[in-house]
Amino acid sequence: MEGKNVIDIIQKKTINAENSKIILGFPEVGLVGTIASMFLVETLKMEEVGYFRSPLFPPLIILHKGKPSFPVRIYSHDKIFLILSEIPIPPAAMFPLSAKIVNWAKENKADIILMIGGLPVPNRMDLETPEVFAAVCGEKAEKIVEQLQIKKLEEGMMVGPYAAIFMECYNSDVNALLLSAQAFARYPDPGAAASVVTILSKILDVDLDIKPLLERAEELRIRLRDLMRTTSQTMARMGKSQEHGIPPMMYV
Amino acid sequence: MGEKERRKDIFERIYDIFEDVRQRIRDTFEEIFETFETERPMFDLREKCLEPLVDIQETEDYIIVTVDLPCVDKDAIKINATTDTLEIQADMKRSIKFNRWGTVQREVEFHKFKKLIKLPSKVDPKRAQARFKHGILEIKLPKKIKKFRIEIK
Repeated sequence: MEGKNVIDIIQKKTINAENSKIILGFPEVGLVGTIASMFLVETLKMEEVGYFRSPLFPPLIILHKGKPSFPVRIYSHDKIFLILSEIPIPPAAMFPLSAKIVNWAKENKADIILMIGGLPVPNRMDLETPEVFAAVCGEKAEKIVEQLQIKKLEEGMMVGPYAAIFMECYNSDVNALLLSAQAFARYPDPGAAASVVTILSKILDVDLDIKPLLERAEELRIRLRDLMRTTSQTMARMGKSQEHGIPPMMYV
Repeated sequence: MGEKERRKDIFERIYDIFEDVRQRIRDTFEEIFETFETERPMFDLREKCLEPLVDIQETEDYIIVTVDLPCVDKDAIKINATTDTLEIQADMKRSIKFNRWGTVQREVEFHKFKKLIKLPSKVDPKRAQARFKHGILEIKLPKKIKKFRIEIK
């Protein structure tokens, strides 16, 4: 780790991400990305193959089953890679981390980057099954959305780590697809995560039963309160509420 | 500029300086409060209770408070309100134990949620309405506002 803005990818095993799908699960609206990622790691029995190291992350280590691990880690299973973060991405780290991930995807000739997020809706309490919307970058992403008939986010603003990833993907000509489920903004939302997992199982062509996820929903909501609180504060600091605004070019 | 205008100008400038200082103090306190909020644990070991996540939205006429209460039945929720506070207490369907977490926490079984919320403005608690769905409690509290109609001439 040389400069203060450097983010390193430390590989614990040899990674071959050629033609792979790279999934990103960062703490955001309703912790949809975190919950869905945790579920994928568990269900697909994904193996930890690396982690990200940077002075831009807080001095924090996760202890799990008595062993330390870095908060932003890479998991893999066949041709599926998953980057999971157990901390909200600090605003200062968003651009360097995004550049690192997208460069890594490009160098490894990955097929597409899939981002899991939440879309805050005021009537979430009244929705039985949250709907998933997509934001796309690139032809492959367009094709997936068309084939699976996912509604596209046509107009609006994106703020946060996924917005930074999108900017890098657009700039580097890398395919990216954001799957965003209607969710509670400030409460962990396993129901929204289940909606995204349903779509992901089709994209990844793997069988993912959401029943165990929904059965553990209450427990997850209790266990993820602390992460939700810090994530809400990080989102407020980076101006996430701008997403409610109407872009000025909308009617042009 | 006459003496009267000059004095007015000086007072306006002094007022602006005070207003600026007041704003800085307010920002500092908000920052301190935010840090305090983050660092405060979301549990109470003595009372064996957990702090729920709370969201407060403010409209022109209402304060809408939502509380995330997983593992809770509607009948187990107690809500007490004053004109500027809201106290929520709810027994859980089953107690929760965080095995392996922390040192003393792992031994504790949490039985309930508890939260005292300071409301951002005065409300009329008698006219408040509450509903509970999918483990989310929503309380709609009408603000105490005196409205005066202004005629346009």
